[in-house]
Amino acid sequence: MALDQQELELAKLIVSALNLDVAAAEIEPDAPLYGEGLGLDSIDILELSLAISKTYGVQIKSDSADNTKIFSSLRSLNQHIQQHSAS
Amino acid sequence: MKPVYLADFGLACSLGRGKPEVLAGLRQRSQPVATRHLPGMMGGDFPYHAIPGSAGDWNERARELVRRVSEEAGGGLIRNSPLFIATSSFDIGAAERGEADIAYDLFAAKVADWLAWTGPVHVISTACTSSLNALLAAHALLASGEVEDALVLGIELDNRLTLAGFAALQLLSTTTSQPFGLHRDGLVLGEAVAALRLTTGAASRWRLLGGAHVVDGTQPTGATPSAVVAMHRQALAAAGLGAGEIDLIKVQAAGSPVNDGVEAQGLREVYADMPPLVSLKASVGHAMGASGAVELALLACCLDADAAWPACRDALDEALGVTLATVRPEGVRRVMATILGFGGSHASVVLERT
Amino acid sequence: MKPLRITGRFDAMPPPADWREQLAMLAGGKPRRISLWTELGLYGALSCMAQAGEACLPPGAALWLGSRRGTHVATVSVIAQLRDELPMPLSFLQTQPSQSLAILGAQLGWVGSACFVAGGSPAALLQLATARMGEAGVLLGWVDDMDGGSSHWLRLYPEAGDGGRAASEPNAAHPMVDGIWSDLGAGRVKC
Repeated sequence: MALDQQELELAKLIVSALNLDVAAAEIEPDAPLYGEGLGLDSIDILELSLAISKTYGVQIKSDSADNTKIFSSLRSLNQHIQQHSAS
Repeated sequence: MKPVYLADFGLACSLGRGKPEVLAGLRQRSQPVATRHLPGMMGGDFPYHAIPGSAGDWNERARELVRRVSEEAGGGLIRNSPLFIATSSFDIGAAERGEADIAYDLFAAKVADWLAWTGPVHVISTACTSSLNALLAAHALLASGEVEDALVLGIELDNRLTLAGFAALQLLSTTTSQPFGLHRDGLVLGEAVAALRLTTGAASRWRLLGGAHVVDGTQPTGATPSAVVAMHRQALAAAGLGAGEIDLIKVQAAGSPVNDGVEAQGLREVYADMPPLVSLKASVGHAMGASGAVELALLACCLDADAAWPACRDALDEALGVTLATVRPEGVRRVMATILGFGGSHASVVLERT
Repeated sequence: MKPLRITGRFDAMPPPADWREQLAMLAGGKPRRISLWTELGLYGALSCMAQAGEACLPPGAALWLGSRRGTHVATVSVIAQLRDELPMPLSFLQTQPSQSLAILGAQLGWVGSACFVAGGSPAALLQLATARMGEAGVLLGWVDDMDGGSSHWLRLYPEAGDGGRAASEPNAAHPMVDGIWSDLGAGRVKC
């Protein structure tokens, strides 16, 4: 499944912020970001949360109960950002 | 192995500067906590346990505090002995203001110069556990007979880097530190300078029996239950004691949602019959590299018969299965003192009243 | 100072051009999210362990790391970042030398006692490390990221059955441990 423009931008941010050895366009939009899938851990999620707050002005708290859902995939993360960014 | 004693100590923290002020501060039960503002989306206002009544630029203030605290501990008596400086932030507070260059040896030389120290200087930096690791290194050197005296000096003073780093890691409370608390929501940082003078030359009220440090790199920012258990068991073994012989444990319990639970879980596994527990974080904040030294000094103060005991104001989290002593336990002889921290670092030392 | 036995030794100053490839081989993959300083430490530690013929560090061994400049680069970068916003979490963690101890421990599949000594001299680090040395010995490193990088490591064990030798000279470095480890005066704080 191809990424749309917003998802690709976010994928690029993830790759650059986390110094991942993968091309942004190759991230599966529905694959998990945690553990299996992209293989991110809790430190990556913190790093990504801060990068997102700086780029999109959207705050994601590490203790948020919704985090598992928000970070479940690139697509869900992008949806969360788009819903909460001041437009 | 020669017995190592805590000859004397000095401290400055948010409760006050020097033992009398600190004890008076503890009796007040409600300490005013300063606020620090951090920029950015994830920034904002954060409580901070600042040392009261200090003026001057960073270096001047640090020099005054370091001299005062070392003098209170009797550091002037042993200037040709090893000095162990424990810190996670060095003089970064001065570097942020353009008042220092960042270089370990320059920092060590500056502190040595403030104290007119002529002996060897070692700087130990293992984040939150720096002071306890300095204490363990000094203990080993003294116990082996290589030297007779040493001063362990924990220094952690106002800087933005530590506070902003903790904020970026989303570890800070925006309200108060609530050790083992039901509504705990993070750490409150603090600044402190504390000095512990060790000797093998003469017995004193407290003997340092030894301790343990366990690094578990699988969790780079927090504790793991297995390492908490290993740390307690190794510290007990180093002290030659069984779990049933500990009369009081000074826990880390900084009010962290996850770490407090991990620590409680480890404690329950090691101590079938749980000794009284005390946390000092609500009183002085978490003073990072100085925390081990300042909390041991404060604990020694609190264990004096007529001293106040750290207040425990918040509702405890019953799910943790541990509780905090609300009054000073009677007849405390052997004390375990723990600091947990960054780098998967778990450290504990054991003191015995002679 | 206690009598010692050296079972592994590694010195790179500077490391060879292909050191990162060597590190990837030793570590079983390219390390991510670590600073140059930590990478150099990992490279030297794993090389020293390979030289000592040990696949992993025994639990009772201690890890000691020292450095003249340590996390200087990360610290300067974070101070610059925090003028207008919070630093990136990993950048902040990289200012803490103990993160290197955690990474080294995790890579060595080891949980145990580790300590970082900021500045001073390799010989002073050796003295502290051996004062507390148990049966399983120590893995000892001195690592810096400037001037092309340097990574010096020793795997030491206590020499069995020799109590008296060298005890009369507490500050003398062990005669076997030469090179950067022998000069107690080098880099020592002058007052």
